[in-house]
Amino acid sequence: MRNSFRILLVLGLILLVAGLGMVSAGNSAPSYVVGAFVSASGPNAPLGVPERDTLLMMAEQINKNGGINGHPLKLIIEDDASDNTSAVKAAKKLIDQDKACAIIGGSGTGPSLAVAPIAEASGVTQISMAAGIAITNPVKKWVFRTAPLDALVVGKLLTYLGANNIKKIAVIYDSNAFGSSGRDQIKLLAPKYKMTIVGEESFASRDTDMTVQLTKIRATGAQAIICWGTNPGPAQVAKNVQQLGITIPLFMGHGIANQTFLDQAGSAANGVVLPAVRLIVADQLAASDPQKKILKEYAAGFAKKFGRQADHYGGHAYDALTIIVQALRKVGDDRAKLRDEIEKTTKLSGIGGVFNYSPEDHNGLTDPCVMITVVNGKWKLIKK
Amino acid sequence: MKRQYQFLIAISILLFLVPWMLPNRYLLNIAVLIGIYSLITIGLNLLLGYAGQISMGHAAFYGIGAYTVSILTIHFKWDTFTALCGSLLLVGIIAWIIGKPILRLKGHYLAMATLGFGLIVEILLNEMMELTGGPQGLSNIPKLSILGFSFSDDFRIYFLIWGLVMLVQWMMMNMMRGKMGRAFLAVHSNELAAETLGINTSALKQAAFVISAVLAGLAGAFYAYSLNYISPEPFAFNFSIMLVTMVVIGGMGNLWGPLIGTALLGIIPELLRGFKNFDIAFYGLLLILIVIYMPKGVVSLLYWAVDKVSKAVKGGQ
Repeated sequence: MRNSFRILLVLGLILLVAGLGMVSAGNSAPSYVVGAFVSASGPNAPLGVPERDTLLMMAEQINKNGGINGHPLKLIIEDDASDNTSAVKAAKKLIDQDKACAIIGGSGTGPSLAVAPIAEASGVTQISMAAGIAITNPVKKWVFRTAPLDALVVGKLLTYLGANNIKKIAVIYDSNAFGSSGRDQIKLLAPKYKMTIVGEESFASRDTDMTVQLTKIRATGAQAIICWGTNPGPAQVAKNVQQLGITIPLFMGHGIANQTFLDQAGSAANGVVLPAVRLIVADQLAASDPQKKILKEYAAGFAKKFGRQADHYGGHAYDALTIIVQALRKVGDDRAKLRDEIEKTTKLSGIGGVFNYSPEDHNGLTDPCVMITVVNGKWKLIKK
Repeated sequence: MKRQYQFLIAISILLFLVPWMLPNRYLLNIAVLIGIYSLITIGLNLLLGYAGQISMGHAAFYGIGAYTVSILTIHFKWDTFTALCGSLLLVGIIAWIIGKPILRLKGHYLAMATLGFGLIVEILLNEMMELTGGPQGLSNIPKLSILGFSFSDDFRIYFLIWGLVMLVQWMMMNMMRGKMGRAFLAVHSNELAAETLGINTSALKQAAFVISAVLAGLAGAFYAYSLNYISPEPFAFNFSIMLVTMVVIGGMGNLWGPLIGTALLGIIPELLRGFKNFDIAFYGLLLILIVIYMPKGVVSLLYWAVDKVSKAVKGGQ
């Protein structure tokens, strides 16, 4: 008998949990429903958490200021746990059950691409925050993005190199998705800038020594080393370059632009040049820069609310919601009208840059980066 | 045993009605996913619960199934149904080839070997960029169509998949009634004793391995056809563990165990969405409670309930 009581207890618990889960659904006010699925847990959590927090902060602010034309904004955020299948479930829930007029997500390329066919079939706008080129190339009617394409960032760097008369470059990249995509873009774009790639090496994300690869690169006669990856690998590359006494200038991708890199590389970070988002050098921008005000506001607001620094991942979420809210103000929450209005977005100044969508271009950004360097362990804007 | 078949018919009728009871595509999609996972866990139960062999790499067969149909339809423009058959054949052959040496191992060593196989497949999916698209995956996988009938939405896919699940379940029940089923049980309880009785244990284990792999491949193919996009993560090590958990929670070595375990683990996370960030803690707590109080799996609860009811009915008479 005791045993059966225990089993009943467990059953009761399950039912209780189920019931509670149901209660939180329901509720129907004339509010505008916007859905978001982010990777708040799993390997992509460093992207998803600032995105989620940014969205929450913005929704609170919008509702405090009287909503959108009097309609409160109901923002529903789901965690896809960096998993495609969960992202699909979350998106179907947001679209069919919560009746979202538009959805934001995902944090990573995988979840974004997994949800794209659903957005297309359901006729709901999806704004992705991931960098993978396949998300908006070829253009899908209902899918937009706010993260900059790698090609734009690489282009910015190569333009800078060209202006400094560098013709021979060597590439060392992280063999993860971010690094290999950067390598592909450099290979693709180098001929356009009349550069030759004289050396190409790779490392695994967790490698702790890259002296072998760098020694090989030193022997190639390259005029510049480009390192493309996400922390901690590039910090190690910078340290090894310093230890080997290599004097060839070191350039990096935008993946390292945060405090972690400065902490890990220490004095070896000094002199590294990279294209990066404006957010990390917001207070050094010229007063005439159209983004300066919004960047400083966002950075200050985020730091005040969450007690940590804002980064460009949160920025992608900020831009996605800003674009949707602006369109909602103009045409309301009809899904089709909303999409058409979003496609007409022009000259919208966001965190990532100035957004201009068109029927042929769902990427929006054209100049997402500035060139920065490290001086005495601090990011410094390189003025043209 | 007769009761088992009555139960199967009752469940089938219930499942047939489910799509009309679900108010939206979101819930229908969950039902479809549970069906897809059930195909794998039913097969895995044969291996784990009946043949007594562990596999920590079944997500790999699931992945090979999904990637083969995707590659054949996208790169080689095969017809979706032919690609499905080709993928099952390939998975079967791979399972047969690696099953030969791997199944000589026992216990922890077998777990290690299958785990290694899973990891190798995961790495290949990531690195063979030209074929698999690497970490970015493959998009625009066509919908399955058989003889011109397209399984274009979850509603149609639901009937196809759950029809198959019930068919497979029926075949399992038939198999367990026969000589082979008893041979499986003998191997599970004592391999040496089974051999002395003239049972070809290695052939039997091999058969269970290949059957379970092909079922996983079938599930993978349906996953690709219903999502139309695949990338390596869903087929990684984590999912292999998830599959074993589903079988164990439901009840290993019982025909209905895997179905119950899969349904539970498919539904609970969705119900817990309301708890926001605490859902993982609740999920863990539930699993712990189930393992402590129902070590033979949730299916034991079902038997207990049936037993109580039948006793009550008899008592009433």
